[in-house]
Amino acid sequence: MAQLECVLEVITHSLNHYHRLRDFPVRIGRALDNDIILSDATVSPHHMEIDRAADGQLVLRNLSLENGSKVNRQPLTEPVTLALEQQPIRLSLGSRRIRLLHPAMEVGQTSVRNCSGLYVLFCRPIWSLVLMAFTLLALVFENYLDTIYSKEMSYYVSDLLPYLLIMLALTLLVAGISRLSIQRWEVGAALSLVALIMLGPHVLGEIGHAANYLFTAVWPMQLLLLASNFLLLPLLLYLYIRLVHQSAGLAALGSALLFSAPVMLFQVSDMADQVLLTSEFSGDAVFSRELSSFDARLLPTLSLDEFIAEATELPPTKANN
Amino acid sequence: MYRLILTLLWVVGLLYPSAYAITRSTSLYTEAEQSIYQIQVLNRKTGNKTTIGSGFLIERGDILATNYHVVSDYVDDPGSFRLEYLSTTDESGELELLGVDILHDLAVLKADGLLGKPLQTDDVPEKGAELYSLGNPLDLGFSIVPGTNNGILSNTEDHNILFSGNLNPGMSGGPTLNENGHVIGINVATAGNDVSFLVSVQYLNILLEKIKMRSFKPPDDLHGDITNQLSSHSIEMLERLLDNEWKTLRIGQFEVPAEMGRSISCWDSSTEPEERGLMTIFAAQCSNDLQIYLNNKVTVGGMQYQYNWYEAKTMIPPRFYRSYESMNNSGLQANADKKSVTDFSCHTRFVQVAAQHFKMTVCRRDYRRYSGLSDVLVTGAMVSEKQRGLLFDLYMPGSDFQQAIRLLKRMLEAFQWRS
Repeated sequence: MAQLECVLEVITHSLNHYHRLRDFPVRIGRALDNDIILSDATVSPHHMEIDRAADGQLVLRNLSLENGSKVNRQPLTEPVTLALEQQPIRLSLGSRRIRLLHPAMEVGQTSVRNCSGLYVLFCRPIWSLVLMAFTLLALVFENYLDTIYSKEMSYYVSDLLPYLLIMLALTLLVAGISRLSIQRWEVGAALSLVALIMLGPHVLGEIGHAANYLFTAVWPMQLLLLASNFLLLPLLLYLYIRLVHQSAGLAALGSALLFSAPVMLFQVSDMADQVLLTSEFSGDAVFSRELSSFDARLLPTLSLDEFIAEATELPPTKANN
Repeated sequence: MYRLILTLLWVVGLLYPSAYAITRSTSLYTEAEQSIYQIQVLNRKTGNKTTIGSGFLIERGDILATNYHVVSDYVDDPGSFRLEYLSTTDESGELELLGVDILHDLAVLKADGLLGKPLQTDDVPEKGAELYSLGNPLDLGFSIVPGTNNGILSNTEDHNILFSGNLNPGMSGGPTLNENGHVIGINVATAGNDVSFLVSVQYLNILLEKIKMRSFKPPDDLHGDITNQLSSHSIEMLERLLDNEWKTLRIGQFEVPAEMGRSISCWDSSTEPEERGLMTIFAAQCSNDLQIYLNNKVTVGGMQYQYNWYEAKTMIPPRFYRSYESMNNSGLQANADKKSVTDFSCHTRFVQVAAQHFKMTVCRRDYRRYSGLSDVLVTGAMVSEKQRGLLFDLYMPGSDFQQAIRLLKRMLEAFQWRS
């Protein structure tokens, strides 16, 4: 069966380029007299020739003396003849990757922006603004709770500005990286991501505090701190990449882990220090010191006699080394 | 009260003792010269001295008395240290530890042979009497320091003698003599500026009696002996406090126990209201001034308790509790080292005290070597009011745990809410 035409796909990571090949032979290279010009430094001026045999099969010929070519990952030394089926032919010209596609090849499903559930926070601009405002207010409220002095409004406003500055700078960074990758601005989603990254630890901290008081223990906060340090950032990045970059699950997870790696490594070294410190003898008593005005707790209030009876039973401590 | 014990460690200070030319001093020194010695703790590996103090012959020509804190390194680790005496004429020899009275900071040692003439003892003279303290300050040489007797301190747990004279590091364990050249006290500590402390010689006599009954042999189990001394003292002291009528003090809406006995004194430590401050703070701290020296890191017997009242009518409850919680971090010193004690183990519950609810924690950690002794730490925070609160802290290092809990019970029962 005679091959009428094929499509050449030049893979670039922003938006791939396509060339319909009708007139053979087609010459590819960096020089300007080629049929298809690739401005890639690893590609030779005249790199490869694609011809069509009489029976319609494609004949691939390497012209490059420098970096050479590969066909389906095999080095191309002698010309090869291949029939183009539904399965694309994968070529490498130097470091540049190219595919030859059958025009009848099916393309993937149109990816529909999934704006349901948690994703709503990223794709509706109004939510981005709400998140930003809420985060700023929460941070200022934290400052308000932390001070025991009466202060003027202007103090809190001036407190707000650094947060706003950090938030906008991070938003631009995230949006800029996305812009380079997907060739469009996604400022709203980036703002939501940054707001959540800034808000998350505070929310988890509050939950941990309330849980410590509820259970009269120290482990809930420790668990939530772990989650806050090691899960929050990758999870938010994963959601963002899935939605904005429309990556597949595993690819999104990989990118999320890659981008959160520096922060996580820092947390790991910090945790290693903490573990080292707590394994040292400190002389400090460890117990749930949390106090809460809501007084929401599971433990009942004992009478003094009951309490003293329990305290009397406290066994002698053992040396653990 | 700040006290400096008088052993001389390897750090040598720049203080020089004053020299007085008093005739009686001159003759007393000559009489006592054959009876006073430097006591040295030496590192077995290097043979170098790590601690020095003073000592004197008592009862027999080969029996020396000094302070427990002079020889505490040796008691802690006899494998690494040994004891030696050094005479005024530079003769030296090995010493054996015969017994200690840890409560009064005394130790009795035995030399390898007869050294000289033992000193006689006498009762504490009347207030104002001249006293002469002997010892080797800062390792500079044997010295005599005149001063005045200011009587036995009856408001303290240790009943030391207040000596108005200048004691310096290195004089620990040296004798203080009356006009007749008889020992009435043993140098033990100074607070500087001519405020110094002596152990009354009666406690040395009691210790010597016990040692005499063992025919001048060391006890079979020295640490067991020390443990018994400490725990029976703790039980007795707390028993005495439990028997006393207690004073009370007012802190915010509460009336709480103040002085439980003469050895305990309470001080107001409220902070002045700050400009723009929203929180009113009242505070009181009580403590006895007892410090039983165990080693250079650990002293026990000192009992402390404190109350802090916080009130802020204009703060919203979460804001008040944020600051209130940050204060819930007992400022009580719980110094200790890993070699002496285990980690704290704590028990936190909510308990009703005088119509209010408290989040109350009892922690204990036990001594590794002195079994039966515990550091007991209690902290309680009132949680039933939205804009005011009381923090209560109690710290009893080196106590009998059950007795400490009995005291805690009586304290909490004495809390009264005054609305």
